[in-house]
Amino acid sequence: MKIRFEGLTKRFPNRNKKIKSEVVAVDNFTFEIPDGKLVGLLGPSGCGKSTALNLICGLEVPTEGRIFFDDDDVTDIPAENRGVGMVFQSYALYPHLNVKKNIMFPLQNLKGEQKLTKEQMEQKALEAARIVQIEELMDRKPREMSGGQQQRVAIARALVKMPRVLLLDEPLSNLDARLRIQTREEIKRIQNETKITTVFVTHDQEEAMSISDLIVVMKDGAIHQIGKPQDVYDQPCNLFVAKFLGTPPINVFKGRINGGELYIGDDKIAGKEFVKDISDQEVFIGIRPEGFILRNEDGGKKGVFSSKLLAVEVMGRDTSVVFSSEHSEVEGTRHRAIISSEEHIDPSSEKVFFDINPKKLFVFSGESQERLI
Amino acid sequence: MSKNKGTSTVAKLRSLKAWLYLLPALLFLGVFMVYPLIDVLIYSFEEGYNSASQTSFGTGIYNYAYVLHDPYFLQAVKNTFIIVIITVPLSTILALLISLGLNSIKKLKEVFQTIFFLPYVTNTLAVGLVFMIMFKKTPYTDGLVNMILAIFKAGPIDFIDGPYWAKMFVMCFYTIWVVLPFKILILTSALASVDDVYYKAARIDGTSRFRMFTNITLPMISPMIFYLVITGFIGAFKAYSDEVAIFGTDLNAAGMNTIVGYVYDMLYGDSGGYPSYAAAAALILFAIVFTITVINLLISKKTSIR
Repeated sequence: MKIRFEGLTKRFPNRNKKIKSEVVAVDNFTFEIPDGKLVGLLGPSGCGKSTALNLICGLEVPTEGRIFFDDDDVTDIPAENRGVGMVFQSYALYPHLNVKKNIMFPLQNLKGEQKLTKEQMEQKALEAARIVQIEELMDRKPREMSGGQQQRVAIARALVKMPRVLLLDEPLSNLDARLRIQTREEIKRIQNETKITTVFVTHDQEEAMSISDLIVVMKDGAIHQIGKPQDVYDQPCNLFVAKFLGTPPINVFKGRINGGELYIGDDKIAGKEFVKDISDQEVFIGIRPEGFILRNEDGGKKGVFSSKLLAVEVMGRDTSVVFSSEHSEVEGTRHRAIISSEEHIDPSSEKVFFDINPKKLFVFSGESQERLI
Repeated sequence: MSKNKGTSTVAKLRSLKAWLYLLPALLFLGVFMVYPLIDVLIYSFEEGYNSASQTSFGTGIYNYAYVLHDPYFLQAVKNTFIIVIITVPLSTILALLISLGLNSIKKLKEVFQTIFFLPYVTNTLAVGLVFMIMFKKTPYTDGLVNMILAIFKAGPIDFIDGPYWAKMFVMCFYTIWVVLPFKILILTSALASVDDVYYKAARIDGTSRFRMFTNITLPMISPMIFYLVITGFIGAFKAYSDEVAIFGTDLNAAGMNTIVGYVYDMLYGDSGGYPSYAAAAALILFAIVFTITVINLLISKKTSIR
């Protein structure tokens, strides 16, 4: 099922009652979530992504705008009639009920014609448990399970009514690093199996990138970019999106365009063929860690970009070159370039030289921070 | 071997040190709590004990036999049980309803909470006096309650010196009024401590409000409810001052005596001076309260969620 937002806006009164102005949690959302996809709402904490989720499920009422499930306007339909399943950040499993009763809880609410017999309920609960692979835990109480298992129970409970939309609020935040990777694959698999349109919220870009069909990058209630994870990573529309995606993060320098050429300090990074006909101005230059190509000074091919070498970290698979630059956007930043482990670099040398892969090089306006190149 | 011996000596010294630290507390507890308890037990078996001369005629179960055959004591037991059975469940349910109400209002919540808590910080004897005046029928006035009853063409009833059920009604009414604030305080905080996310989850799943209450709220606050029931039982069994507040010190004459009242009368009342009878009655009360509390704990353990 498609989810469509039209001018969706949610404003809250300010917590501090002395301040009259309202807080805009969700600002004029207009976009469509395609049917059967896994969509990640991504943004720093406080950007309104959880509010967006609450608007979809009906726990919050929008100030303006409409929400459509396919062609049904569900804006005024209360949460219980929207046919959504939700997994809360804390899982919200009822602590006094065992797994089976937790999963059956939504079914027991059905009334009238939808009412199920006990056997049907148990059957459905077992099916849901099978999807998340917890059939053998049916008699456990929530506190007798690990975080990952609780998470699965919460998903099973959300799935048992076969919702039209599955919503997950920070689904992995309470899990440890290893379980996180395992569980995110699990979520992807469950979504693939059930084909239910799934929206999840996260502040962890890696999480969003790894499993989403589509990511929505948000900041301060506004959507900055929507797209496939790789597209958003390769073509960030502004400095915020570029900085938010990628680990290690993108390296940002202050630079300028001068006579159709791109400079960081005195180093000419790119020429006319890259800059094309953009007018002279101050810019921010973003370079992905993997966009640096190591050059040696003595090899004759001196790189276009020089900087002070701080450290070399050998990871095995690849090598991190840590360096600083007097032209960093934020002074004192420890920049990171990732190069192949086969490259050799002398850790004792003072300076390091790079060429830049133009595909990993982004130029943003110094004023609006929108992408120029 | 010698090494083992060494560590055991150290361990012994350590535990000796621990006991030394505990000594002051143990002394106080022993002298002021354990010894009196044992003494009461001894008195209850000493026939005709006289505290002035510290003498008794002999030992036996005569004190118990006397107390259990004393019509005043049996009346007191009956009164106590009626008060317990009526006030404990009723006050807990009422407190729960009021707490639910308090929890669901948004405006003036604190004001209402304060109002409901005020009786707790008010002197019960003073309030008892007010209750007595409200319910009492004198040759000059029928009292406030009877005036209200008159509107509904009922009464007048003498609640203070009249029929037994009328007196018992006032007693229970007053007891509930007195114990309510504390229960409301405990239950409102228990209700507030239930994580809102459970209700959100239940709402999305289309749970009715009634089911939310019975299947989420009640189990979540059940430890607090059990706590209130257990302490409520104990408190109601030990009731005495509330009765005095309304019916005066001669509770036997009013037929409204309680077990603790009986104990007091046996010690200091007009018929007093019988510490052995008092001790026996006190131990019977102890046995009753102990039994009820054990039953309560067993039930709470069986239904407990954690």
